[in-house]
Amino acid sequence: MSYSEPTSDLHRTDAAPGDQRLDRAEIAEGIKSYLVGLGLSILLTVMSFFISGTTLVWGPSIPVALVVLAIAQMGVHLVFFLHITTAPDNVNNVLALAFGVLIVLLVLAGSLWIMAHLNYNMKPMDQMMPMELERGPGARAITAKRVVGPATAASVGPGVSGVIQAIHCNASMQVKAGQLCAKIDPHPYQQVSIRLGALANDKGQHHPPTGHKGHPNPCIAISWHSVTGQVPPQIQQDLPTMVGRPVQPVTGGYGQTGSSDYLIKALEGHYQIPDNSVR
Amino acid sequence: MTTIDAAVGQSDPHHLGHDRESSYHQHTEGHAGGGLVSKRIITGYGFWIFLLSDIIMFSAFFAAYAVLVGNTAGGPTGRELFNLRNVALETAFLLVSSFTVGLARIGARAHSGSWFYVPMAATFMLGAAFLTIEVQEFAGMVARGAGPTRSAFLSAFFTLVGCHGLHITAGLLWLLTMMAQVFAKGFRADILRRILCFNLFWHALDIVWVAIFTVVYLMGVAP
Repeated sequence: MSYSEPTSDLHRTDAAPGDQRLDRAEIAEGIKSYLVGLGLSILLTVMSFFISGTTLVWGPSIPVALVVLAIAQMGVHLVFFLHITTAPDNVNNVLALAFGVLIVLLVLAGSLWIMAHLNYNMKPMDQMMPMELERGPGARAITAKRVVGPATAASVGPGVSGVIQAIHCNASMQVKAGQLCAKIDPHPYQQVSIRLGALANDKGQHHPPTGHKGHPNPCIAISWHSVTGQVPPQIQQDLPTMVGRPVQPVTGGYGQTGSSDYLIKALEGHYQIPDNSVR
Repeated sequence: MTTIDAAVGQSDPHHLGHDRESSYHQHTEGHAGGGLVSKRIITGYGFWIFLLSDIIMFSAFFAAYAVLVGNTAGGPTGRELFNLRNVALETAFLLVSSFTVGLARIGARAHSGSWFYVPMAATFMLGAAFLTIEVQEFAGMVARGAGPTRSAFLSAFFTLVGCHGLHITAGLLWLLTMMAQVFAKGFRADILRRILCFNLFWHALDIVWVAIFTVVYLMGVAP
């Protein structure tokens, strides 16, 4: 016996990787292991090819099944072709193999894990939106509610309460100071005016209501004017629905809501909201 | 070494003692015990370590492929490119060649010329057939504009599968060399060590191919 004779492997303390332990160095004995390995490999390969194209199993399970079959086939190759066993003479080989498998798993799992997370984080910000928009349909649906608000808001409203008769301003319409936006039903105030007039006549202090710019204006129009600027969005939305509804006056420098003082002033004609009262 | 150690070595069924003075182990090889380790084991183990490092290199290519498989840059995907019939043929050729190369090793062990040459020739034919199909597949892909420069996916594909193909090519050259060496020098101990290493190499390539046809081809076309 010499060290390099393969047949002397039987009584060695270690086995070279790939060396078969045979009780008799017979060709038939050696072939048996390879035949078993070949049969198992063919079986596993056919299963892999079958499963990859089948619709019999749940779709997402196919890659998992393929990986399991591949690992099984690698095991078959290791055992029946490479003759890696759990015997004590194979400890060195198995340890080296285990270390190799560990590194392989670290490389694969680490790469996939890190790259899957960096893929999005490393995109430049200016490319974020176009990249998202390039996705195909159904990839990801994003629903968002956007509220567009005005840069500045101004409260615009009637000086007195009443029922709106007509709307002259539209949504997102550019308006100027003094422009008529809505008209409040003057009828209740005409009643008040008549009564007040009667009261004045009774007291001998006749002071007929005068209209705008001092012109006599017995027919009282209580109006609501806007100020310069964009009609605020909330007003824009409310305008169409305000027709026929009672509105509350905006308090300003004209006394308290509903006070007789206020009403009498308003009855004098077109009621204009000064700029300083709405800012 | 003491006599106690020798007794331990004899009663040690797992050969943990590695006692070179033991009468039972006339040619024992220890690890740190100062024994001689046969050259066949050293060579085989060293080549085993090389193969594992080779497989680690392949794992890096696999990781690159898995990361880049979706980056087709508007180009063709694996589903459009891969022909599973060819892959099945390649797989069959390589699997049977793994069997025949095993037969060749058994023949070499038994110093049987016919049991060595015939399986080796069959292995060469099967490996060459595998390589032919692969080269045709690559040429077809390049011809239809799906070369390695088309997209990151195809770069990774050609790197991974092409690297395996290069290994097969080198293996075929090695196979011819081994046949020539056996023919010229006979079944000498050093030649048998090289045949052992070639066996390990060829089986390892088949293991890598199992991973390739699973990860690249079957998962590439799976619904």
